[in-house]
Amino acid sequence: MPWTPGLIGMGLAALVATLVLWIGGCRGAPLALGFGYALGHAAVRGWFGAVRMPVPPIDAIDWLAWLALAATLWGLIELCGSISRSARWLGRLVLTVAVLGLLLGPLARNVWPWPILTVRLIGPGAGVLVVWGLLDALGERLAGGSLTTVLALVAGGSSVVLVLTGSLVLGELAGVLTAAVVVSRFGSIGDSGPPSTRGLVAVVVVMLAGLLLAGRFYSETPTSAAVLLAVAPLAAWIDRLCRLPAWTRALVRVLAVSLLVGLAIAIALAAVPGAELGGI
Amino acid sequence: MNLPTILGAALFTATLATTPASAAETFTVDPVHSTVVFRIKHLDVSYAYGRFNDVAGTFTLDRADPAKARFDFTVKTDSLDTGNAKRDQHVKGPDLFNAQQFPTITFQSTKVAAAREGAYQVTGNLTMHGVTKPLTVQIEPTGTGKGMQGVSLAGIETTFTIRRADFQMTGLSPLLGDEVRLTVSVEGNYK
Repeated sequence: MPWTPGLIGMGLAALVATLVLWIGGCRGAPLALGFGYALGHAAVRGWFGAVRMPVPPIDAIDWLAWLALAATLWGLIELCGSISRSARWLGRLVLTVAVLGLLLGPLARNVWPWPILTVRLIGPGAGVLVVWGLLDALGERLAGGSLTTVLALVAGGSSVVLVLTGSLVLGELAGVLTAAVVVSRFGSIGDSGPPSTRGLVAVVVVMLAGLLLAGRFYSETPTSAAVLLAVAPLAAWIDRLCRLPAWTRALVRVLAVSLLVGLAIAIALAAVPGAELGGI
Repeated sequence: MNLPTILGAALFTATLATTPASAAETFTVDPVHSTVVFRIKHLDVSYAYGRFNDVAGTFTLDRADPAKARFDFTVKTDSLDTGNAKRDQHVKGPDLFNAQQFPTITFQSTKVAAAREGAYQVTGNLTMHGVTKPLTVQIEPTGTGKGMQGVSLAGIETTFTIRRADFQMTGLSPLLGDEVRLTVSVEGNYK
């Protein structure tokens, strides 16, 4: 069955995330997400079977498993540690540069020389940091459950877009992230306030940025679809435009985010008319 | 010296210039007349075929001393062609070849010995998807001759099977088989 590795990865990510949340409580959300993703990634890539995990990774996209662990560590520092504002942004900058360098660095050997690649990555890098800051602010305003619903929608939409635009593996990895985020959503019901969402946002931003950049540069994901997915969570700010009852605000948020995610899927569909996994 | 004699001498000299003088003959791969074809099982049902259209490299043949023979080939991953453009994009993507990161497949011989009926037993390193593995194949000369412009030509062919898991190409595993059979048929121009 074509989807078997993806389903196993998603199941494993959900299971691990559930266990971690059960043991660590809602404050364990970054750990649940990061560990869940990393183990799900390993399952999708077949590292529990006949193939050994390559260290260091051979495919650049396999750095995502390591980046998940790094983002988890950073998420826990943001969540538990009392760090200054400048130190927080320095840490985020380092992680963003790591995502760009590890995932897209190999292109400097074959596609663009380092100076050109660096210039090309300034925009995506700045975009990651801006989205991170805005999501962090959103997390401080929304209850944990509301934010994770938004993030799960975007991760799920990314999975669909990545599969449609030429990579089953990247789509499955985004599916693994979605499964872990969904579990975190239920784990964070009733939990509100900045600390837990802040740690969770760190992991989701790093993983989504990595997956979308990999789709854009190694597969056929259109830039417009990747950008729409990257900014889609920010549409949740729309509920600030008018005074509405709490449940209506939640609905408006979900609809606004879904609209952008749906648009990204439509762009992906238009980019690959009539193709079912590229004929495979 | 009369004119026929001069012409005859010139023709003889020109022939010498295009004919290999020593036993070891080195040829440059002619990409137009060279092919790398592969076969892989699809859904454990049928075999899907594809080819790489861009093959380059050199090879040296030496019938007198096969140990002096050499085979160096480079295939551009991006030249993969399965007859379906969308599928080509997919196979060249991160699920399998990851052509952006690994733009070439190379083979370099390290040891050559004589095999049966003029063939060569060639051991070398195959690098694909960033992984290098030793590989031993039997390369058979398929013929020699002259090209349209008088250049000496030689042809060789080999068929062998690899496992893509050996090269960490595990994507799409339930859909595509692990074993890939390759046939490399190369025509070379005398260097």
